[in-house]
Amino acid sequence: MELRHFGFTQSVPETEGGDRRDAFRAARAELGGYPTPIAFSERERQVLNAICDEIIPPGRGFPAPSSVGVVEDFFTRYIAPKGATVTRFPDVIEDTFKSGLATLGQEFLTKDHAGRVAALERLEIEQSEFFGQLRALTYGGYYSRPEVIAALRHHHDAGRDYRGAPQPYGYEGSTMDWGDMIPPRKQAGYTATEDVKRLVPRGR
Amino acid sequence: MTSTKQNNVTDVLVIGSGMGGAAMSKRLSDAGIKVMCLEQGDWVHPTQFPHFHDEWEFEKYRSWDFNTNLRKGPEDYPVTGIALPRMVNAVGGSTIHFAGHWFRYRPADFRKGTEHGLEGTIDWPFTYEHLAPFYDINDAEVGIAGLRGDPSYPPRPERYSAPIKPGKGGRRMAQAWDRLGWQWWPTDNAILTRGKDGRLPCNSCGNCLSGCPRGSLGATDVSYWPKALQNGVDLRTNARVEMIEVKDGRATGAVYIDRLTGARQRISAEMVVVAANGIGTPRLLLMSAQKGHADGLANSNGLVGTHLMHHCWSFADMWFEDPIEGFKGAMGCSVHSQEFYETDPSRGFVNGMTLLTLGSFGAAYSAMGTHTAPPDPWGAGHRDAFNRHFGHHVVSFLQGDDLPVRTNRVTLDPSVTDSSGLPAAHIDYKITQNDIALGEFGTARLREAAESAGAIEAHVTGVLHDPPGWHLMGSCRMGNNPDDSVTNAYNQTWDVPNLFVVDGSSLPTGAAVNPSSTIGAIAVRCAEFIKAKHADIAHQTKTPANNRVSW
Repeated sequence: MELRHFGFTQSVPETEGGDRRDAFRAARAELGGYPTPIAFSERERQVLNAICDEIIPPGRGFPAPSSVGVVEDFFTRYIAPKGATVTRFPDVIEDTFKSGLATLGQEFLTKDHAGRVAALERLEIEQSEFFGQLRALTYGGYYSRPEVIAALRHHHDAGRDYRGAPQPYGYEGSTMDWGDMIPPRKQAGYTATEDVKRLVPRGR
Repeated sequence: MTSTKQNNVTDVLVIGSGMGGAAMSKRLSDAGIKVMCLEQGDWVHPTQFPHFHDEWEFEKYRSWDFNTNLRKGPEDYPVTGIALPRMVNAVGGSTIHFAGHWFRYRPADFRKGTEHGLEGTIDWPFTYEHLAPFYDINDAEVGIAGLRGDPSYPPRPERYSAPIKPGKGGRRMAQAWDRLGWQWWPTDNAILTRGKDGRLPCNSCGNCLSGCPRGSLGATDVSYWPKALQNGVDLRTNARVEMIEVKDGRATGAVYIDRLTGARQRISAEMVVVAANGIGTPRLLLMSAQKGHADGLANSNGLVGTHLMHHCWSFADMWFEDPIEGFKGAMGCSVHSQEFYETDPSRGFVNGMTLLTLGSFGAAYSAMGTHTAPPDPWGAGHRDAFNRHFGHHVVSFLQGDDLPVRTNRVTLDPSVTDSSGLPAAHIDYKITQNDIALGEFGTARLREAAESAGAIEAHVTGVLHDPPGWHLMGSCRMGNNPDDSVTNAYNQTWDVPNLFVVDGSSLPTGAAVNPSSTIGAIAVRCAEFIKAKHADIAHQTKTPANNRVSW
């Protein structure tokens, strides 16, 4: 099946005699990102983890992104594989992303903390779109990790009841209700149909 | 080749399965009328809801984005021009992930032509009192949570269930408005707070804007469609209509593309009801240009697609010293203020606004800036900023009644197409000086309310140019005569008496409230009209003038 719209052409394989809905499903942005994660080389993985640990430094009860699989479990699923003809947020394709990563150079891992921050600050200015993608993937991935949800519950003043994924539990038991605040005290009215009149001069 | 099989003949063909199409299909089929509904999307499968997934927030920007141009689903079509289109192409239409806000229009909203008549503003061809019984019916079908007794509206029946919980955020805004001496009321929502027809009550999970796997949200796939199907409505999904057919001045049916097979099917019908939303309906009517209707169907006066309204918007994301826990509670508006709702010419603009509140989603959304703010800083400043923001947030925003302007319109894009080769919709929209003045006044009120609420930080957008297109209104409006509108008072197009339009495009004015409740009420009313006047409509060669509208 070939979809041509929104400025792209997307070829989606179909099974002989199968249900085209399967192809439609594959053509959408599926939950969990791409079914086949992309692969990073060992060096790419190390550089990305170092970047993520600078974007969200660990501490005060919150783990380092590199210790909770942000790169290995999240980045790999939300970056479109090489050759993808359509992307959705954060609109990252594997080969373009890896090229951007390569611009940080061989020496990124040899820099100290201050050096890495300086390199990322330069990246933020000189390749703002790529940096924005890095940040979105880091934030989105980090704050979806179970270990970070646990840290919010234990170390954040407003996170005690926070569960991350909203279902199946919801928050019914701990959401504040109106109590004696309703009905409101101020009484206001409305203009009835028969009372509607001209309020601005004709011809304005 | 186009197939016309015996099961392709029906009494009433409905195009679109959202608020208008679902209400129409169910209410007609209650009377034994044979109804077929064509929907270019499919059912949302239970596994598509992100609520059970760790990455639920990230999916808001992907498969659950409101904007078809970002979602790019196989069932979607592009919208070009000045467009931030918010719609869903699925069984249920855009009610699949609306917030459930369920305001009615107020009586003066039906009389804006009398009140000022600016730009293309006209009076509705009927009053609030005519529509009230149909609001009641639609409310009962869907199941509404709310508090009876709001003196800002005419009296109306008890709601199905108690109002949704406000959480700390809703209470904080209500207290702020109290201090300012502003009117407020708990908001009516199409969200169950007690079970109905097998649908579960809301458990305050806060993710309504990615749909509702519990059936608590009043999307029409759970509120109207089960009953419509039980009545025998033939709902065909993946059915993309490419043309409505007309012969000798009467609609004869439509041709659709079966997206599963690629085959074309011709449907014969005695009446056709278009309910494809405020962009989709004018698009389809314009696509249906044919002999005798060179400029599209129902368009001899050139008004199809015109007077498009989106509402006027300004947002205030606010943060507080104390925890607000905005991830708790139904996402949508638990409390609103209509202190500035009606026209006060001393303010320097006409029309008014509703001030609403929303919840906060979760941690990732907070880090990425919540609704309108920039992302939290990275690096050394991240932990402090994130900790200050997450769980300490409320957003309040204004929804303003924008003027209907003839040049704000939906047309067909001359070169961009959907995946079936059908023309994309193109939007031209420019905000008026009146609406800017309204929005600036309201933005100042948002700042006042933020201060009254004790916010320690606020990000205020000001009037959004271009406005987000959550609400698609006015583009095939009802009206008073063939010179000012596309349909008469009963949604019959002036040009083709057995062709009806029932969706957001029907609304002559946008009021300053969300339109779903009013769209549903209009659909119920039109269904009752068709039931009562079926025999007359079957023989009409000319659409009747409004004359005396009795209901």
